[in-house]
Amino acid sequence: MPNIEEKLKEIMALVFEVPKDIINEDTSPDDLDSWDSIGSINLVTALEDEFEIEFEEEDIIEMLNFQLIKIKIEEIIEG
Amino acid sequence: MNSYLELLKAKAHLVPSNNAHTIELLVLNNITTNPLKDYIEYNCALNQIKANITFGDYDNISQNALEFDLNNKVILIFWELANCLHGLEYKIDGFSVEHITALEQKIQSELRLTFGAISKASLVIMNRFTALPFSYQQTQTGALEQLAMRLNAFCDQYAPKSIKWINTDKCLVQSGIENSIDFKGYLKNKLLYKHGFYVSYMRLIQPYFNAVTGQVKKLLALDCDNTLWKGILGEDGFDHIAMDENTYKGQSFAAAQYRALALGKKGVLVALASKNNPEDVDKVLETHSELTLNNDALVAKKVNWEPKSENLKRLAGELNIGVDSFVFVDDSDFEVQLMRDQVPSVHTIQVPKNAVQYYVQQQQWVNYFVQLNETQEDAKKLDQYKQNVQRANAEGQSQSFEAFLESLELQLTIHKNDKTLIARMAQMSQKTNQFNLTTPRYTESQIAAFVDSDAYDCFAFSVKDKFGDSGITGLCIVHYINKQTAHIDALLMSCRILGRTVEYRFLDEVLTDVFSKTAQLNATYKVTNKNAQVADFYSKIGFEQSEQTETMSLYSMKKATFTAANAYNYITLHYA
Repeated sequence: MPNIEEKLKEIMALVFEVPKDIINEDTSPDDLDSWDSIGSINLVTALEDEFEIEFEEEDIIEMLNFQLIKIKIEEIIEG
Repeated sequence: MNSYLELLKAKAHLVPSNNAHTIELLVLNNITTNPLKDYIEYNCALNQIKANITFGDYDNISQNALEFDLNNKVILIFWELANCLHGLEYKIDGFSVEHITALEQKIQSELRLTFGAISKASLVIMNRFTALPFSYQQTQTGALEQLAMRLNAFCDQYAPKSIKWINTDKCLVQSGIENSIDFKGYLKNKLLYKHGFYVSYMRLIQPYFNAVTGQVKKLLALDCDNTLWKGILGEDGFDHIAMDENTYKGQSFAAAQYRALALGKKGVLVALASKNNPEDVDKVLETHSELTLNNDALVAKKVNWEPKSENLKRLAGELNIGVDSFVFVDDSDFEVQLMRDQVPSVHTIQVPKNAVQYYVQQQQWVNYFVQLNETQEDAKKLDQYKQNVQRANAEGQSQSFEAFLESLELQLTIHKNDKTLIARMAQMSQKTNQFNLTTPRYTESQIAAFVDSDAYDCFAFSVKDKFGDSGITGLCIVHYINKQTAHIDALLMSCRILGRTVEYRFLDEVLTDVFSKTAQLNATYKVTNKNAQVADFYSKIGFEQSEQTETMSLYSMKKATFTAANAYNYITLHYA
């Protein structure tokens, strides 16, 4: 689902206030100063808005980098 | 904008500009409010303010207030009562009196420390204590609500008077509990508020950010017809305009006058900006029994037929205040759009067509005039300003008025001897008072006879622009007296289409048509109580005056002297 990947990049860029092109599959909180605990909360809010989904607490703990977030969203959407 | 994500997108699309103002904002909280940062940055940018926002440590309000350098900072305090103790909202009703008192005293001492520390800040905004998100379904007043009331009373007594208090219950009313409170977020991350809350909250606090950066409005400019009263003075007449607060029809308009009067008491300057005959409006101001907003309350009256944008610019010069401190209220799409185009720094408010909506909208007027410090002296400035106006010498015309007209995409449609319009043409002759050169009152059968007769031509027109269609709003009846001579029997237009040069374009076409049949055209201006605005209309379009008395002027034009002006090319012409 390339669409999810694009949207995820776009949203991460908006939430963390960085250019879209610096975000890649491996981008994690270590790479972005604004990806702290508050940034994670904002990211979850924005992703829930965009994909009309709801994350569980254990999902959020597993969302450690771009690739893992993408997989988690795909799982939830596909049920 | 329906979600946090949409706000982020809108914010990313803001055109980066050199914001004229900057505020240093510190948010102190005992609850997670971090999305607020994006809402503040966005709304401030729309108001030419760059907001540099930092957050204090979570749940360390009084400590941070003591430690941080608050000099010249704006402080925003979110002190969430339910989170003063984890789960307080469901625990407190089981607490003993002693337990609650101990908790209350702890909060009070933290409040005292905070109040003592914030005197250096340039502005402190703090939320009233509330239990509403946790109590709105309960019949009886619970312990959390009682505690909120007592703490608010404590703040009234001990807080510095400079603190601006925000009642966040208003956000819940504006956006609804579903859109403002996020219980899931609260239980997971102490993130109690969501999108709808922040949107409403910004509406409440933005006026303070504008005030602290000096962007306070000073003058309220009000249109008259359908703004101060219901109806059109020039058409409906003195006795048929409505502003009686004891009638449903008049009450919304009476309310507008009282609201303006109350603003005047706060020191806001109130002026009129109306296209009307000045004598007519003066008569209302001096003698109308239902009027509340009288001459004494007004700093100036710009009642004439000039563009309102010019009038307001002139008034700003006379008062020596910036036109960007003006708020302009008018019911007409055209006037509001013209103002936005010509003087965008004037804030415009359009009166809703629905009187109830108008009544509700007036609640917001006062928000434009929020000041940080209000004094008794403010109201006394009115007289000084009035004198400024009297002294001032008003001159100067806009260069770009034509460009504005061009942008309207005006379309003029002329209907010649159109049988389907007989009723409307008769009605116009009956109702039109102001732009009416001879003021004849014709019945439908009379108009029908003109339409059928070879000796008469009836030209009616409609006007349309990109904002809408005004319908059939003008009429000219020409009588061919003999083979050489014709006479303009009637010429009238609705005032709501004036100011767009349509009248000149229309006459150009009528004259071209008439002079294809005749060598000389005569015209008459008959004076009435209401048509002073067109006293020189025929002179303006090139007629020669042949005779003048107190009650009328006679004009004529010869075919040889007529040339179509072709000057109004921005008006597209059609024939029906």
